[in-house]
Amino acid sequence: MVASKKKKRGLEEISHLFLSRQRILEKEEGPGENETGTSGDKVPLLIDQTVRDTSPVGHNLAIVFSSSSSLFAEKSFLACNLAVELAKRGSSVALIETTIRVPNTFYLLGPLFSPDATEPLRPINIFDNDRKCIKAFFWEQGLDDVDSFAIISELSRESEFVIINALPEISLLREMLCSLNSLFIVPTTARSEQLLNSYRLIKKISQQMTCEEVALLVIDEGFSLNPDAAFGLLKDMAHKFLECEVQFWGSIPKGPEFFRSIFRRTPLLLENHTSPISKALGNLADLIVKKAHLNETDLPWQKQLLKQTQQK
Amino acid sequence: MAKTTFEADTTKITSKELLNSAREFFLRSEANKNAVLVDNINSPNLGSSDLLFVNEAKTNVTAVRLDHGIDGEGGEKFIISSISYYLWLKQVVSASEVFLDRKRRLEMFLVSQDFSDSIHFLMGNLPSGLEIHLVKYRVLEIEGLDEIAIYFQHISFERPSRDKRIKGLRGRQEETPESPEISDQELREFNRLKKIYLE
Repeated sequence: MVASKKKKRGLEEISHLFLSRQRILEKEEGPGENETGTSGDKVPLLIDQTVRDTSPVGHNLAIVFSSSSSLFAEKSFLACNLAVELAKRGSSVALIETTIRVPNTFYLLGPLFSPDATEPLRPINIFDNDRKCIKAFFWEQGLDDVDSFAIISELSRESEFVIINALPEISLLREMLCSLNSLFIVPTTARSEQLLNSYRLIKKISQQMTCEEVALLVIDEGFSLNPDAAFGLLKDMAHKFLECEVQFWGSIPKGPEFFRSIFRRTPLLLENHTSPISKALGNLADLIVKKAHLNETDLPWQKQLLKQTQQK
Repeated sequence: MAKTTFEADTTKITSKELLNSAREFFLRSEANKNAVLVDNINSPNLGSSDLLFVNEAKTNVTAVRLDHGIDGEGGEKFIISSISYYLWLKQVVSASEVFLDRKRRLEMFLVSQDFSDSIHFLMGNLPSGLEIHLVKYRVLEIEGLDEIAIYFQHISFERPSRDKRIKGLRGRQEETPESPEISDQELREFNRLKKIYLE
């Protein structure tokens, strides 16, 4: 890689895209030549062909957590704990955080970081075992540019699971779904105003990301509102107006352990709790692992990839 | 493979280096694809931009102000003076529209090493007509490179603008592919299903 060589480069040359594979490719291919072989200064999109060709189907799952801003803490909590649970099971996990607003996943994992770790890519060792490691990456610029795509591609090549804690206003590249197995998880509560926000978000994912399936997680706040009813409402709405399918991935009971975990900045699943919320998170991890190992034809994003390849 | 980076002291870069890096950053960004650098427009009392870009059609004007942090101006003072300059420049641009019979869009990017919580709150609640954006820069030392790097990060906000609130009260009639809103038909169906499922 370019980084390992000692090179004299101008400040302006590296100020903008020092993590970009696009620049590396341009350098390797010569000026004016991009990946598609056409000349020009800018490459509109870097499709990482190697990921598409070499990734075992069903692995390298990119899990994108997105919800309305009022469920910010819940979304971060879920992304963080899912990363910990998958790492505990021996999977290699990359975690991409996209916002500085706390409590984000970095805040929740805070005490696990070494105090002098200031580099953007931070490996977090769990249980002092190198194999059980989360590679956490901070990417504040949004996911709608070429750089982020290159980073996600790079991380997905190294990791079985890439978990992205995304903002609701973030849009992803359509082509991302072609080269990465992306699964969108939308946490919501059963309150009507929240369900309306979630529907709007699912609509955005469906329209802008050409996504055929969205996983819904209902956060059970302990009121009389029924998670199944929330799912039924969103499923019917999506069936009538959208082209994507909403799937119910369970409910997460928001008990005192949730607040304790946030205040103590400790991922819940590090402590081997047997609380209902821990069990629900374990079930979620089961579903994720199962999803990642399904047959090729069972995955909607792979059907889409196949369809697009055939069209080309 | 990611490179090991270290946060470096900002005094290691000069104002000129920051200016040059910012110029490259904005010229290379997708939003300023066809932009060219032009002379700054000085206000008699409110200072000037550090960089000024216009697109080929001269319909988009982008001003950039940099807070290097070594002249003691301070974050919040920098923001106030920048907003004042932006409002003045907006008047100048509006006046030119009358003569040229052409609508112009004015954006301003404020570049600083850090922004306080109050600035975040202020920017998140700016009226929609004020197109002011924050860009944070970090001075980094990167393993394998002799020189330090300046890394720019655009900070985005969800703005609960007045327009959106009014649109929400009207039942979200407009629909655009960029920001999917809910149509009347969808809202009616949602309310119908809400009665069935939740009540």
